[in-house]
Amino acid sequence: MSEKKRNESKRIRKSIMPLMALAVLGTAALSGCSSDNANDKGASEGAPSEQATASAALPKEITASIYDRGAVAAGEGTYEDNRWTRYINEHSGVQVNWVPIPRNQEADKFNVLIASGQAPDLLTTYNRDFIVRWASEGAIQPLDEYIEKYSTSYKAYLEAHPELKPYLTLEDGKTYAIASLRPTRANTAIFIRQDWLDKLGLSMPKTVEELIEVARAFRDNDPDGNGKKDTIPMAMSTSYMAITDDWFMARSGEWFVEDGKVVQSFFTDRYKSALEFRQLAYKEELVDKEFATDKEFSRQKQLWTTGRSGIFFSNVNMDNTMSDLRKNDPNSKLSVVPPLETPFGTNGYQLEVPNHLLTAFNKDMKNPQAAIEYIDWLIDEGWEPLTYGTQGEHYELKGDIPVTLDLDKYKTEVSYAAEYRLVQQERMTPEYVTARAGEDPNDRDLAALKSTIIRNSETFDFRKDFPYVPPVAEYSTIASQFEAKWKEINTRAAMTGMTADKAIEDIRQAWDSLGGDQATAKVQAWYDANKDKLK
Amino acid sequence: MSSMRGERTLGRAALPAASVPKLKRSRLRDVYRDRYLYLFLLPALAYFFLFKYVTLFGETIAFKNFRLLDGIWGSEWVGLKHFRTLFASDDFWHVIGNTLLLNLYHMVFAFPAPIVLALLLNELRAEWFKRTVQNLLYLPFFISWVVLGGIIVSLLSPSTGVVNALLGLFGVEPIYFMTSSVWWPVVFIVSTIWQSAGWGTIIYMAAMAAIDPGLYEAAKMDGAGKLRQIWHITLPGVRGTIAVLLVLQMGKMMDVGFEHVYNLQNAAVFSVSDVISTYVYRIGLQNAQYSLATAVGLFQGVIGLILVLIVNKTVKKLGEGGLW
Repeated sequence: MSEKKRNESKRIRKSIMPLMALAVLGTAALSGCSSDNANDKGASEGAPSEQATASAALPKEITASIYDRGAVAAGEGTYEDNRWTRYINEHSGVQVNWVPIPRNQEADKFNVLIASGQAPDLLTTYNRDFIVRWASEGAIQPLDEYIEKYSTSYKAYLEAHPELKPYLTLEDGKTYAIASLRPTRANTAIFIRQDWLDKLGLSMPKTVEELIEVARAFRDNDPDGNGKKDTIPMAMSTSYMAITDDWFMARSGEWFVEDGKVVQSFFTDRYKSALEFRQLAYKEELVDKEFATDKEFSRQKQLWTTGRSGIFFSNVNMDNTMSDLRKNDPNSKLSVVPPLETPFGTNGYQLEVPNHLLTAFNKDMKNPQAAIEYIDWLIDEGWEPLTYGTQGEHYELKGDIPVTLDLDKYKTEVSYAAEYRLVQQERMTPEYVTARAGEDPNDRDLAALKSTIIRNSETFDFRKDFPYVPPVAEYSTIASQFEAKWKEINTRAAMTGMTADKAIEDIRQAWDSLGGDQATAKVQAWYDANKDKLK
Repeated sequence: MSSMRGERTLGRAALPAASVPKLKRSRLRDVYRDRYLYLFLLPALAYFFLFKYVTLFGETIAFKNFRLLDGIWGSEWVGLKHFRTLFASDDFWHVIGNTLLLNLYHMVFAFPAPIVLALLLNELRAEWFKRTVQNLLYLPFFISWVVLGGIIVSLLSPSTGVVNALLGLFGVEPIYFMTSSVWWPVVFIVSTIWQSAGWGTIIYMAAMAAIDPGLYEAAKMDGAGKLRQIWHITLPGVRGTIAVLLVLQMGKMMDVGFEHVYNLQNAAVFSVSDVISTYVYRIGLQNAQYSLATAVGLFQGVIGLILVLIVNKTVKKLGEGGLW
């Protein structure tokens, strides 16, 4: 019996060996993988000039980030692969591989990509703070040499538009981002149901007080005529807080200069009025009571498109929402509310910074020449099909201006392509917008609204003391924690009977506990040193 | 007695355990005898080693000023600076307070829930009913919090939610549960119970099934009613399981699941709903303060470890088998 057992154990031992070896090898391979990543970081240096000669021989392939707004219809494909990405690859001479970044999660998505060494070559964002931070972290590199060496069209564009320079350069004087001018600097707007105003015999409000009166009338007098007092006068979006703050020139979280002293908007005496407005709106049921849990504002949009709201705090480019309203209620007539007067004066609607998307170059980019080529192609001719579509299919030329043939087709097939225009030369003037609309009366109405908004943005002044967030480290480190705090206090103040004074006191406490005084002192120093540059 | 049990469990009738002197059975022989079991363990061990221990090296950035440019090795040491910053900030203590409070509620309400459920299910005689109920109960465990969060928000909506509609029937004014700092923790715990209680019952029911039915018969003959039986037989029978799970739960005292809180949170209730995981998410991932966030995580892990050690020792002192 022991003989049999010994043979058996010998056989088992024989088969164990290869199994063991396999397991050990597997472990070794895995550990090899992980240590590889750790060594990778900090390896790539190489002066731009060395890269230059090398990059001419490299394949013209780059990776780039792109905002994912969920706007690509399933039939069109995905953000990585659709008719426009293929168009770009065919016509620009550069293969571009796109990395989608969800629009409202760009902060963490970018951070994770960069920290794990997987960031694409081109990093595109609206937020200049990110550029500042990435530069200080060493994730991106200066571009002056590349533009000088490789660029033709963009270089000329930049020379023709020197007003862009301050937004693209950082404290060390080097250029860290590529951008073109925004098509229009208008952004926020308030839409109002003109048909309801007419029905109730009201005139367009000119002051904030009048707006409140109109809202109360909408609430009480059943403007949609369904016999029920179910109207919620004001519908919100991310612009609600922005617009209500802007009325009083006290945008939450922004720095203002009062008598040469920098101060956070909350601590100006105007902020109280903004808080009080929002409180009043909530208390008198002029806004939906459940906005706090409506994080994406989808319920708000629904209130507007189904005709349960008469005043929409929104943005200039809300074509889809407007056409949804049109479909639900073909008799609706819309107007744009002009800048409203307050006891502090009349502030225009938000005027965006002149630059559009900012594109930075990853420090580890292999082929900067290809990237510059892509940018040049875009600003020359590439931006046009990405804006208008294909001639004959999506638009036809009337004079110089492309007129959209079918708005629905355009919406499905072309509207998302605008995202791929890292640079462009579209100029949205009122005439341009009106001409683009074509013959359809609905489109023309929408275009008329947009024209008014744009004209307003060009006529009225908008107070913005700091064109961009002061790049002061003491402030940046506390900014997002402070934001969570003041957002909460704002929401609570709007929803409870808390006095505006108490709310501001709470904000002040939060600011102090985060070291706000230090931040203010540093920002003051930065302002004093740089105020001439800011003009 | 022991040799009889040995024969029954080992199934080796050949050699009674008593005839092999204990001294000769070295560790190595034990490993060899169970070699296939260890082989099965190898991938899991490798996984834990690589992804839990080797990555601990990254925790060092809690003591450094981490800059992407310098990498983990190259960033400069700053010692306890980040911990000092944390301990000095009101925010941090507030967040810890929230975490501990929510976990306390969990301990008091959500920990006993699976036990109670298991007891109830154990008393069922109809197997098919027991099975169906059990399956239905643990289904919510598999639903992601993103979906559950949306469902809960709609259910509790003051204007369109079912719960408030029902309350309205009793003449109660609609309550905005999700934005009330009083109700939000309640919603949180109730949703925890709803999601995880069914899953916990599986473990307890397995433990209860192992209790000798002879004990129940003996108790019935002595005239014990249902409740008495549960109190004197079932509960003591699962004491060991409860003890182990308690130790595990204690280790999670500083940890409240990110997904759960993040999806139920909103701007009106930050003061009660901000916990360590969402705090780390905000300052670490959104604000890119990697070192600070790692310091918080390290702090959380150390406290959790200390708690587990203490509770395990206590539990063993009380006579139950602990985790080790």
